[in-house]
Amino acid sequence: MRRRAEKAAEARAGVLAGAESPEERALDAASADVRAEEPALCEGCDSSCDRFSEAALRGEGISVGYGERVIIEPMDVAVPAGRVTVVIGPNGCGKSTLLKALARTMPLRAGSVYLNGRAIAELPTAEVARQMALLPQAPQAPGGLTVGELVAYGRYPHQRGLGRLTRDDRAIIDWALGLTHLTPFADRAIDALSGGQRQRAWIAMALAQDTGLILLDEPTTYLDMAHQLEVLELLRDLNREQGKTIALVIHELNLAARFADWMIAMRDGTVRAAGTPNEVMTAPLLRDVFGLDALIEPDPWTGRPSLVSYRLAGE
Amino acid sequence: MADVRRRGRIALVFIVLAALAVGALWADVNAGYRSISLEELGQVIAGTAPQSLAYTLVELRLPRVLASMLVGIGLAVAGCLLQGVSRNDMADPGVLGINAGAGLLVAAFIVFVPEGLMPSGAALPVLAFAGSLATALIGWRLSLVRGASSPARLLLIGVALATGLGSVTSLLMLRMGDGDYAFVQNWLAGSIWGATWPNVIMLAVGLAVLVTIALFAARTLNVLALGEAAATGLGVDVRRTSAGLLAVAVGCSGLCCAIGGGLTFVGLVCPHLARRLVGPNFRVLIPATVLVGAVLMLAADIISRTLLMPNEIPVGIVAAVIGAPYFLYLLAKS
Repeated sequence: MRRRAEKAAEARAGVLAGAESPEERALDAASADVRAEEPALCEGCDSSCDRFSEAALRGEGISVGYGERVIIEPMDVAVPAGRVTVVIGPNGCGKSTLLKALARTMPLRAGSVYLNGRAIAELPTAEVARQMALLPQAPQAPGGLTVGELVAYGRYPHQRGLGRLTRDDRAIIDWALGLTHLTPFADRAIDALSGGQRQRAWIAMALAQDTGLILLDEPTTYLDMAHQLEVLELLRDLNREQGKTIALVIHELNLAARFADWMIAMRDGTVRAAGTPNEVMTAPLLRDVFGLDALIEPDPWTGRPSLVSYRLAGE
Repeated sequence: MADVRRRGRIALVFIVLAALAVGALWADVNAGYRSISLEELGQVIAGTAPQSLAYTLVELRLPRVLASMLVGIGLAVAGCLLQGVSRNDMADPGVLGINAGAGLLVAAFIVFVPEGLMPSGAALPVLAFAGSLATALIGWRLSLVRGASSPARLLLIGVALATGLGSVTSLLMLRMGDGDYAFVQNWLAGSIWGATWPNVIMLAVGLAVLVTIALFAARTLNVLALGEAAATGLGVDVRRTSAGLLAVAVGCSGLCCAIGGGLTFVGLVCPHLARRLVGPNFRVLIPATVLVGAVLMLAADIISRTLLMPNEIPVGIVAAVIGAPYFLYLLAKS
């Protein structure tokens, strides 16, 4: 356990120092990951496992749309508590919209969202923010804002009045900076950071919010491969070591299968499948969802299903 | 360490700005035919000064100087709030059409109300304030789509309203004699003219309340600056707080418009300058904006009153002449 954490920290330190070439960094991060990869909680278990039965966030009969245009067809969907859930699907399938609908940043046309069993629409928005953090897609920080200030903003739902930081606030901010390896960068401007560091700063803000649940909309989209891994490993560590429930949208299928405990595959505003990676990363499902003929093999390093090759499915 | 250095720098900025504000205040009190020494100031405070000196200082200079300073503060804070809520660096109280609505009522009063029926000194500030609020409300109503407004839409509608109302004002001005025309023209360009003690006190009390609200909203403004989705995620009711903060901004600029006419540039440039000095955190940005607004308006007032003595240049023109090159420089640099 300890070795693993050290190794991961070293890999990140390497990335931070920027001493190595990008190739080396990618390799290093990958090999660190091989060691880091523990068998998923119960590899091989399926969606009937009662580990997935408790939902941190649940949509019942939710749909989203304007006028004639339907973005999300009425659906039931659940984010299992204490797990990493990844939503996948082709562009325009509604996966980001689903995340926004669950996060209450997109109005629902029908249905309700329940956060830890309580209807989100009936909770004060600050109370929701004490239980659920949200990292929007490609978030923008005002120019000149420092990492420390951004992370401090995560304390917003816990503050009152003029917003002076209490000792507890400062302790949580320091903890969030430490977990994301940003302590030395606290006084740097966000716009002076690399893409991966910037994404970690936003994750640190979500951590400072001190919630059990974190939703992330495409947190890896503009990052290179090493930084994608770095962010996803951080999220998995937060899940495994801090017990955070995490739900995210990502594009890259192999990364999705590698880091997810639970996958939700969407197409045309509907959920086509939800289950463990072994249940969802299958050739028939990828044909249905993406229109691809896919060759899927277990990844020799991680044991997770992985896409070895693919082509457009023939009619 | 860096944090300590940054805090030190910000503290230094505040000390320098406060010193500049006090200096500009004193210089503005002294701007005019008769300058006043510190000794004479002491005499006025002690009540031993000759009556003419006391009158010049207390009845003529002070209300005018304080009105300028307060108008600078109010417009700067209004601009700061608008730029924060709309996340648009080009937002300015003038852009909401507030000045145009006030100007229209002022022009209409001069054209349609027979002279001597109502004292214009009392009526015009009230009319200007009413015109500001009415325009802001109309703009708000027009910006509602499916029951929701957005700051971006509000600003666009404000631009349209300003143009439309401005042309009606021009039409009215065609019917005016030279004296009235010059008065309205001066008003629209921005001049401190309603500087009586009652007006100054009303302005001071109103702004004290509104700026206090703004200071308490600083942490919310910080979070709003991260974007609507992130702000919602952090627990801000974006619609309601945006509406409330816009109302505070409208109140600030309406009050200033009542005393200072159609001043526009101050609200745009002061928040920029303050942000450059102390960064984007509203908890320090709002106080810095207050000081920058005071300094800029006092400086403009000094120039407007002394450059072509005994004639006065509308202070809004001076503020724009000082502000525009600096603003272009800022834009070129960023």
